[in-house]
Amino acid sequence: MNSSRIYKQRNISGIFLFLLFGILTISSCKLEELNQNPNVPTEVDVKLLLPGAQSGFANALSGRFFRYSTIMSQQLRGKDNQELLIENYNPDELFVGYPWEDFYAGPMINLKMIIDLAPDQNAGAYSGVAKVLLANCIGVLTDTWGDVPYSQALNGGDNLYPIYDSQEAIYAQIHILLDEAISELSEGSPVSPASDDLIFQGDLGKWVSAAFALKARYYIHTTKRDAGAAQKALDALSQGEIEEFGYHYSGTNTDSNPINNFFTSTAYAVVDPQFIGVMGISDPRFEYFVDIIPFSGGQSKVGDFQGSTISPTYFMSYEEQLFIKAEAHLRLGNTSEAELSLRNAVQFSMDRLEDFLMLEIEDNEELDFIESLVLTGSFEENLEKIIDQKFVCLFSENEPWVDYRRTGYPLLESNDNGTSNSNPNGEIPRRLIYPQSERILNPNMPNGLDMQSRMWWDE
Amino acid sequence: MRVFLFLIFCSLCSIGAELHAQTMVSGTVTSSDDGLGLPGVIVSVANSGGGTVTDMDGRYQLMMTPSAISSDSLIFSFIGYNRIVVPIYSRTNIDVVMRPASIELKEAIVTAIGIRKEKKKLGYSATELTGDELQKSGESNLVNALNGKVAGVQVTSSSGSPGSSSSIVIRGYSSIDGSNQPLFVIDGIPIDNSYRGSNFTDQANRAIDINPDDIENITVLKGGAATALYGYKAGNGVVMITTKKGKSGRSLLSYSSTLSFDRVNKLPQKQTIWSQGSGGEYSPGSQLSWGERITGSAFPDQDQDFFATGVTWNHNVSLEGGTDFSGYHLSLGNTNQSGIIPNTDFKRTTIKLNARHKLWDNVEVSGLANYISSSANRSQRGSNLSGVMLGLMRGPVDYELANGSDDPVNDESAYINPDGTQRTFFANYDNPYWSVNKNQNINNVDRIIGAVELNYRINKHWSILNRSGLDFYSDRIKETWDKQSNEYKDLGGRIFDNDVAYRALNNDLVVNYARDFKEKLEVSALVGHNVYDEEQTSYSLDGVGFVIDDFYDISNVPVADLIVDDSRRHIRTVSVYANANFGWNRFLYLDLTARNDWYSTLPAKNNTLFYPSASVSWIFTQNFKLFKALDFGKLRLSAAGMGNGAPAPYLTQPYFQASSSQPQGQLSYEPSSFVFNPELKPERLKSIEAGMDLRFWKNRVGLDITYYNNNSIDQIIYVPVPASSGYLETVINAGNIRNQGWEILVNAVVVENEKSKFNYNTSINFTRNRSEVESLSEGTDLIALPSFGLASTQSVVAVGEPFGVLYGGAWARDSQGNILVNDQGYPIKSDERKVIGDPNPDFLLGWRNDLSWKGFTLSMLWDVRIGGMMHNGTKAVMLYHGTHEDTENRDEQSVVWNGVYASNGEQNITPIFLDEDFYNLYSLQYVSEEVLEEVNWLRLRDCGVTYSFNENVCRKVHVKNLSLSVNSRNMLLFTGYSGIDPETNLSGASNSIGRDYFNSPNTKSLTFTIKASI
Repeated sequence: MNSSRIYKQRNISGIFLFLLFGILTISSCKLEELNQNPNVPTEVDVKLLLPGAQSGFANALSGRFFRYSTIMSQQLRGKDNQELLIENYNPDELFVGYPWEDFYAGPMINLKMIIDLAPDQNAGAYSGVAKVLLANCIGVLTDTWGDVPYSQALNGGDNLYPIYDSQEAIYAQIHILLDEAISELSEGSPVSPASDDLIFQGDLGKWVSAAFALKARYYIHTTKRDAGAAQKALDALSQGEIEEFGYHYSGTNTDSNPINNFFTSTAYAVVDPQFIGVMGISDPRFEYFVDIIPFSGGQSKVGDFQGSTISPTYFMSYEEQLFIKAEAHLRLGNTSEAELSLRNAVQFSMDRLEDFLMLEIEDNEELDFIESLVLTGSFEENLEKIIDQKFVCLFSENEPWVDYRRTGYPLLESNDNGTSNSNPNGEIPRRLIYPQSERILNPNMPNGLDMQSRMWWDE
Repeated sequence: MRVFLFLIFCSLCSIGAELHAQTMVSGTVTSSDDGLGLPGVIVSVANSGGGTVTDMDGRYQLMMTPSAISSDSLIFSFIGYNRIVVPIYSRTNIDVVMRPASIELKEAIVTAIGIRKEKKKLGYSATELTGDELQKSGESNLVNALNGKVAGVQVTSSSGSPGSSSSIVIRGYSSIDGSNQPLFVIDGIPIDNSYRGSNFTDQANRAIDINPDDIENITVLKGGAATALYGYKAGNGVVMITTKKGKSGRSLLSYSSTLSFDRVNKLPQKQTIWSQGSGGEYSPGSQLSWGERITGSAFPDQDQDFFATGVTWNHNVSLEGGTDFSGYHLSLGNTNQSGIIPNTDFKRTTIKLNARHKLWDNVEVSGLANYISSSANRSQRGSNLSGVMLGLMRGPVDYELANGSDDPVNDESAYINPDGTQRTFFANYDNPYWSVNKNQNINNVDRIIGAVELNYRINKHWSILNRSGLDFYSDRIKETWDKQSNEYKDLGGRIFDNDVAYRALNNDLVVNYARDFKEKLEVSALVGHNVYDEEQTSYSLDGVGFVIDDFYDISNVPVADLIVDDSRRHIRTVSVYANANFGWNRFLYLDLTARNDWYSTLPAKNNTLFYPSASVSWIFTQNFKLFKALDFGKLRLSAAGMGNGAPAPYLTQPYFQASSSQPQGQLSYEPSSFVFNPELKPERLKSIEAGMDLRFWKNRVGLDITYYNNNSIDQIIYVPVPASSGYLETVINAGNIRNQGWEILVNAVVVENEKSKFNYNTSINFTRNRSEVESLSEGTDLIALPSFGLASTQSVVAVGEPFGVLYGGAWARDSQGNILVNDQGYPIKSDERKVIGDPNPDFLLGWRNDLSWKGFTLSMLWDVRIGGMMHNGTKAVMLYHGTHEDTENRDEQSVVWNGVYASNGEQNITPIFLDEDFYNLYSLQYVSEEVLEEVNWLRLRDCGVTYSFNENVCRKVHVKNLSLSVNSRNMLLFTGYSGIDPETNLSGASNSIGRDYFNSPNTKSLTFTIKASI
């Protein structure tokens, strides 16, 4: 072996030493620095949370939840797939979890974040807006499932297994949230919503009115429990009424009403003949509410008024407020006021339809229809008339199912094949079963309930 | 070793040369296993006597008399190799190739980190397959080529579609959220085999990029002790691929070409006598087939006719050669496959260069450069309103999908109405001919796998090695649905453009030491350092609402609806490892390993883990003979620990994410639906393995038995949390999942007749794995496995159950387990979902037969699977639609459901019809229990004949080797499963198994191959 060979071999050893040194240098840099996700922020302003919470709430209401509330209340008839199971009052517990998630893990956690972050960001007004919507969310949840988690809910890792609050407690909480909202909104704050508020563009006064309107809704729900409920509802509405309290879709493909998407992509439900029966095909609004598809073997869908891409999702429509007035006046014995509110409600529905679809209903047709609404019968007959019209005007919304359970109106027939383990007598369900995820994961879920078990306000 | 033997034989042999011989016969003796010259081979002349020994390069020369040359034979013999007798036939040059006699068990096998070890010394089970065995199957996906060939391994192809994934699972599923697929290693470099699942199409597993023709052999390492040196990536075993290298000797140019024809092998059967409609009345446009008895035409063959004959062309050219100092192997491969579903294809072109060069006597550099370009066109499948199988199987038998066209794939009148709308039987399902023309799913992969290895032998005992590897690819995915395609009709069509870039760097620096102490004690040891760094970026544009018809480009959708996503994952692991092997007196071997990892995916306080392994093997036949027939017997025992970081980065801190859409143009954020966990720590695997390896009757019969028990502990799993917490899941360390099983391998040389040149070898491999979820997290008894496509039946892990049991709707039952029926005789559906079945097979069996006679070889691989359930969701939906063959007797057969009345508990006696009303009541899709079927099969997976032309013929056509083969795949399938070929999986190569929901069917194929080299 000559000397140059040895020299080269030393060279090789040098290369290896260099490699070793290099590798150790590279690998000794801090590994945890690589574990920071470069594509997401860890902190955001409340104004970035609000738009998603608002559109998310609308999408939750008109999305997968819509199928349950409308099929249960005979607005729609399920024909296939999960919708057929709902039609048979035997919904699959996994799918029941989807609307549940759509609220809790959607808008509600966003709203909770806003409420938690607002004090540090001088954004009391945001907190107020969020509380109005959160009260609305838990109202929808409790009216669907009865006892639901709230007081310990939405706490993430701090409490993964929240207890269920009684419906009575939830109702109390709704009014507390709305009262807090009213005071925060009235006070205002340095950081206040503007164009990021997709509902009222930062008009806090409208949010205060919306809060009072919601109070009226959750008072009128409790007429079986509270003799003073009707008066409380009227008082609330006297402090605030609100038009256009809802989300207006822009109609782009990613921002359009989910009801439209549902009927465009699947034909798993049609408009229920019972809804058509209550509305009556002579109603001048009929063809805009119900779209009967020709040559389809009887397919129909929600019409252009409630079911187009840009149809708004109302959190609480003005019609609903007028119907609450009508019902409250009727309950307080003020029948003429009740009749006036009823007519105003239907008139408003017609006007809104004309505005929205840019068309004219023949004046005499409209007038004939409204003048036919007279409250001259017994209390029950009058109540039926009011709720029947509310059922029609609030087509595609959740309230008709609540009203049916509260008042028994409209007089609906239950579905064939409606008897199942979860719905023993086959009648129209009084609540929805809890989701599979809660049954499996949350030991606090109440047991022993079926869909005929009545809720606190329904007893 | 050979040199050593050469010296012995030189001293032993004292053969007098016949000085007066007139003619010289010469040649070279090479070994079949590496093609290198074989020194020290005794060459003797059979009748006339005399002989010689080959030199260092395997060359020999013999002086012989003319009479001997014309009539005598040469005998070549060498310890450890089969003796060969060659008649001289007056030739003066006779080259022979000697095959090792396996009785000597000298076989070396590639083990972890690329270390070659003698198989007999191993304390764990490892299986080696040759490239030939893989190439015979004619599969373009390497993973499929392993099917049925290795004990302890379960391979499941997702479908027969070109470019679709295949799952390979070694010794059972254990990981809930991580992958259960083994690590793939090529020439010492870990490569990516990820599967990017899709709800819509059968995507590939990325090992599909490997050209099976480039493979010299594959070693499958199964247990913890075998793979512990690889650390966490190898927790599911390792598939070690060694590619073809240039051998010393003259250059060799080889060419092979394969032509395959695929046909659909099994389809669900439909009823053929009832029309589209409902309530016994014909109704065009209805989704159902509960109409009237068909009086006009019906098209019962249209499902079968939809499927084309798939054609695959596969060409490979390679050039190899080398000297003692350098070598090269250059190959070019091209595969062009069209699928049985029209307009689907898979294309792959590979170029590979292996080269080695000795810089000096003790320094060698070698490298691998492999470029792959692969692409696929895929069809829609699964739970997807544009799905091909969905359209076919739901289609009424009286609706002609082809509309009378002879060539409906290319004839628009089949699937487009004169007014431009889609022509289909029901407004919400795509006509399959529409689907294959108007929806595209294309991906293009460009991939480079490269490695450089530097090996420096410092002295007799010490050496040092550095091996650097790179796996880089870009995967460009484009999926589009026409504005009239039903899956995205509501959004006006959809386009999804996704660019994925993947890069993994791996570096091993290893110092080796080896020494034999006075023949009794052998010691070898190594210490190593490893860095593994993997980064993946994904950038996507997701748009809806095409403006211009038939123009599927991202520029053709409104910007307002675009969803843009940029995501990145970057992980790094740094490790040090050591290995020590001790051998005592050639009968007892001990192998110890230790490794310490540092993971970037875990919080700094918990990011490291140390784990050891030990294995022992005892060749007891070296100490005593149990009985005469037993030539070789070995007992093995090993135990190993192994660790793993988190399966994904960024799990330890909370974050917000942008909402997928921007409502009214407003940028908005939401908290992630995931509860972070700053307390994560490494997950651990513990495995023990025991086995024995026995050889009988001069190695004619071999038996290899292995038992293993693996526990996967403290897995990092995503557990669902009640949504009422505001979140959907969190990630924790929890659980204990156990897999135990048996692997048995029997092989036998049934006939070995030199006279008639007839040989028959057979082998049977048996796999039985039992998994059990011993615990999950506190308060969680059940976790749904990540999957997609079908929610009505889930795949879950549940405490006390095997891994991945099926969970779904079931019948309500009384306490004795009787199904409850109502007073009308109809069964009642339970309102809670239940565990309804176990999709894991009871056992798998592969039976291989190789017969050879003269130039012919016949090989046959039978494949048996017994047990395991499949959710036949396709059937459930077909029943509801009235298209399934079971609905043919809808008006005649009444059944009495076997159950008891819910009202009084008495046996049901009320008959019901299984008619439209029945299926309307249940939609069996949601009573999954009712459409669960047991999967058993016997299939002739591979069967083929190869003829290798003999030397004389080859010489005449101036080639070195020439062979022709005809092979078949899946030609016979016997199964009780009523749907498509039950070797299928909706979720592809994921952890969720046993579901068939409009999966694409599988294929049978016939393959013709020609191979030649010069």
